[in-house]
Amino acid sequence: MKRVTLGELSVEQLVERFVAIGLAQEQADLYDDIGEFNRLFKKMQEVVGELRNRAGDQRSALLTLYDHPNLQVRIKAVKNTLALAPEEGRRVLRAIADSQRQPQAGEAGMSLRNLDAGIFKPT
Amino acid sequence: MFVPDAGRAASRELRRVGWLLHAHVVETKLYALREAVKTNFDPNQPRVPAGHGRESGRWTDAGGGTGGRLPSGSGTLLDSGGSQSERIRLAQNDSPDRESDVPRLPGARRRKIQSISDIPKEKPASRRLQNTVAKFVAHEVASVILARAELRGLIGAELRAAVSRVMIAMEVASWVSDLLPPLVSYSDPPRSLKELRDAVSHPRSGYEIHHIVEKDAAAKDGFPRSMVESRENLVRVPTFKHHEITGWFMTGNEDFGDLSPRNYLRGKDWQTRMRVGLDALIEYGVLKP
Repeated sequence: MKRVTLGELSVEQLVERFVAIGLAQEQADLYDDIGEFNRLFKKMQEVVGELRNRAGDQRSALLTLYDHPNLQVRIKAVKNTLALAPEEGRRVLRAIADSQRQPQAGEAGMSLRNLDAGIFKPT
Repeated sequence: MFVPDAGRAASRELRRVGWLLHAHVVETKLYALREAVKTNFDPNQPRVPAGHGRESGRWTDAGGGTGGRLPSGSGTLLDSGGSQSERIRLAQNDSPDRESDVPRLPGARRRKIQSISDIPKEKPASRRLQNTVAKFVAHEVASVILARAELRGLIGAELRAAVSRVMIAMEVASWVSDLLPPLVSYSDPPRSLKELRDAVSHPRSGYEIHHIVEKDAAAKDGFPRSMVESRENLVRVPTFKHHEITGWFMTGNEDFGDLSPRNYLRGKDWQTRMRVGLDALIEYGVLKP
């Protein structure tokens, strides 16, 4: 299979890749496949890192995913852009937590606690 | 062809039993539909289009989100310069293997379970797939129960009956009913800490014993067995909630500088671990706040 260098992808392709990884994470979670989920987590952080390093911090492209229909994609978009849109990000995290739809609601609730406690410091 | 009277009678009786069985199924579905209509069910309500993972096919509001929406349009944070159809195209791509070596999607080697129609009609031999299907159905059923005030907070036989009714209305493959205990327990309302601790002495199908402070990690950090296995540290929780909380502890997390909560807690004191463990039980809907 062709190996892709993230640096060669457009911002749009990186967002597309972010969504794809989020959807795959949801399946890994359903299968209780911790190893696969962690592998996908690293891949997602590589995409986020690539966006962050582009001129003007192109993570802003992930803000378009704040209302993505898939909860896993939505929560990951928020958690990786909280430094850019802290108020809106918190509002979306609260909405996900209040939805009680697990496992994303649990993760969102814990992230809000960690933000309040100063453990989670978005950069 | 010669058919003895007794044979004809038996054949008639079999047809009658079959008809009654089908009539019962139809009646049950009509009942579920009537209940849905009574709770403002709107068949014309828009659904999330295919390609959005587990959300696909679910009822949604007109915008497809659940609040917390950023202002969109020209000049706003959401102005990506792309059309709505472009955004949908982006969102619908769930095949990252298409262009790289990166996410080895489970779909490439496993059956993707994103909607009720993805559930195999026959019980699969793979125990893992059975559990995955049960977990998926538990999520779907729980979302229906949460949305309907009269079903929220049910326990015991009433909850079991409600879960069965919802599964029939969803037309879930009948073999999934074999896995009913964890499906039912997943929709349990949150309990007090005393209730969760007391329940440890009463093992039951659909539930597992959970260590609030993670067992192996605490043992590795030198906490004595008397603490790790103490009554204070043990609770009985719904099986799939147990898996979800354990999954949260074991996977990378942006909150902790990309460390898993388990790794973040390495070297931390007992109280810190206990607080995180209790918070997780609350946020995953097991423990009353």
